[in-house]
Amino acid sequence: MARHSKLQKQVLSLYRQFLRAAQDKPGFIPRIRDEFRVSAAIKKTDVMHIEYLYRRGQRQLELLKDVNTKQLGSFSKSKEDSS
Amino acid sequence: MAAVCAASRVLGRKIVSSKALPVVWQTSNRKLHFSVYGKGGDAKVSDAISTQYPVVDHEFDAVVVGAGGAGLRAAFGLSEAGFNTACVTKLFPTRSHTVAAQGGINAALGNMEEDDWRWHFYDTVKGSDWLGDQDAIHYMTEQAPAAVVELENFGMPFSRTEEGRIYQRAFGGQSLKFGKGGQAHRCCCVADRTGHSLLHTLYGRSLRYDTSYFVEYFALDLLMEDGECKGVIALCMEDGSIHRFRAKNTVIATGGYGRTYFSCTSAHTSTGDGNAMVTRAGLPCQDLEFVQFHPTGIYGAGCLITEGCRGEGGILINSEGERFMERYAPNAKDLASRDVVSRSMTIELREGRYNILNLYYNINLLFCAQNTVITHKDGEDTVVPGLYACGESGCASVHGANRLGANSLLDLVVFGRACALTIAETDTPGEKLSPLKPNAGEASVANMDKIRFANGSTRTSEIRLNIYSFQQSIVWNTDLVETLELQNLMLNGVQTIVSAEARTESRGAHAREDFKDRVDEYDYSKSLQGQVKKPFEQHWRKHTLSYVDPKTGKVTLEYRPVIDNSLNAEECAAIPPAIRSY
Repeated sequence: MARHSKLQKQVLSLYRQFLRAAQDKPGFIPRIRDEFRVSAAIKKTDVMHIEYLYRRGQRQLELLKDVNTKQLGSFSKSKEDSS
Repeated sequence: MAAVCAASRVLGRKIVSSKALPVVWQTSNRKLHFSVYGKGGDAKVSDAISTQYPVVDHEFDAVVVGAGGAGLRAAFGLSEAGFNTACVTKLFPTRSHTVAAQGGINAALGNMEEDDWRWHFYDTVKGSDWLGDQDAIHYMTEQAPAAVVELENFGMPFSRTEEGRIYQRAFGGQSLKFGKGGQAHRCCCVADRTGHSLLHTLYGRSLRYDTSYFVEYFALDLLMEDGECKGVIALCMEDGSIHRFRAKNTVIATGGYGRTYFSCTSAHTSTGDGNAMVTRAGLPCQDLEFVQFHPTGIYGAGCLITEGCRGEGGILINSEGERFMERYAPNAKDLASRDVVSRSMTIELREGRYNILNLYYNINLLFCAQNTVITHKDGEDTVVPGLYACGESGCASVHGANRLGANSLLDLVVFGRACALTIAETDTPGEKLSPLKPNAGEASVANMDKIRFANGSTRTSEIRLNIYSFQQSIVWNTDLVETLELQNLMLNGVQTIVSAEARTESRGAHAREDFKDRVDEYDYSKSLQGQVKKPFEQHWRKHTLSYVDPKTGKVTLEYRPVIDNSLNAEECAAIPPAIRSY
């Protein structure tokens, strides 16, 4: 089995940190899981894209850790309403 | 909707519905459904969802919108007082338009000659053409020396005299001994980059406090419920997420709206976002018709030559080589107040002896008195709880009909600090927030969604000729942000136009060819003996309040009297109106 590359390890570590930080705040965990799942489809070789998302993720993690951030909701538009 | 408004007028309060759609939005029946991930029924809805906007909720004690001079001062003032503060800004703090200010800050320090803040008070009241609220002016001019000393203690590198005191230069409209003692030198400056220094000093100082900065977040709207302001909703430009900042106190310090004009000296980002947010919330803006034209702006280039040049001895000459200001303002000459100089230049231009003017600064934007946003019903001012304004967006009552040069940087620091002090007096940190409807801000997101997917034939920029659909991602969608800014500009513009058309007089920066004189309650050019005071409806020494109807885009105007008494009549007597000449 191939070992994880350094970048993969970093991404996994970020994921763990996200889950830990989101424990007491409603609404974040499903979203975190979705985002990581979607981004997992990015090719391993597309390092620029991965690193960009990683940096963005770190900034978002800082925001999440902040004590003033309380919950994540969403405004959704259903398909029937789109003209 | 109309019925609700009518009923609320009778009750004496303005009720604002959080579902009200703003004026430049067409009625949309796209309803957005709010939910918290993982709570209740998401799985069922997910198949039918076409677009989803994640909304992060934050809770703070206070949120400041804008990080220019006034915003930074208010933000760290609040942090200093122990409030958990957020500062939401669409620009990095040091890129706010304050950085472009050149002239200086007026303060009666008395370093160049003997000076008194009451003379500064007189000059500002006269400069405002008696449309300024004298209590606010009293506050500002009395606090000015302390404000400048505070800045100096923060490390602002003022220019110095030989004795090492702060150098003060002459500036437009400043005089000694209530106008009788000649030109005053009271503008404290840092060479010709006072605004730049000020902003960088404030920014450096703000890093000592634990304000949370949300940089490159575009504030969309205020969160209003039951006539109270409960926070702000903003779009994070970096990742397209929506953020709702709930706070008991919101301070608007978003600056002016120079970009409504083709030729202006304001940054591309001066789009009056705060004014538009307030208008969409159903609150009035005050005196938007007084837009200042800087005498030494350079048409087309979008920059200007600072008034400081004239303070250091520069003079204006027409194409015949004549120093024409001597004819229009025999005492102050080139250092007369800006509107006088601009008007003189217009006359010279008309008579074929000069070149074109340029827009400089917007005065009298958001309605406010000592920083609180108010509505005026049935002859009385009432406060909108939780909402404050400072800086160029909240400067109405201080500058009146015309702003004197170097009073605006002063306005920023004094009222930025005053906002923080007022909030500290009325509130305590850590107070529990009042409940907010879960779908607060839905209308703003709906509007943004509509713009994002708009597919009309005219581009926002109207410059590019090819017709292709622009990128519709939510991340770094600068077209989307430009369109939102355009909406805001239009709201500001329409209020300026209607207010200006209605005001049938010339006062301060508002000059009309068809109504050349000032119309006050008495005719001050003659003796007051035997004159009958005109009723409120028949004269123009009053503030304009403009509202825009969300559904039709119609502007309604109301009027509010000018406050003529100073804060303390013994310390500083109010100045009765008189004919204004320099």
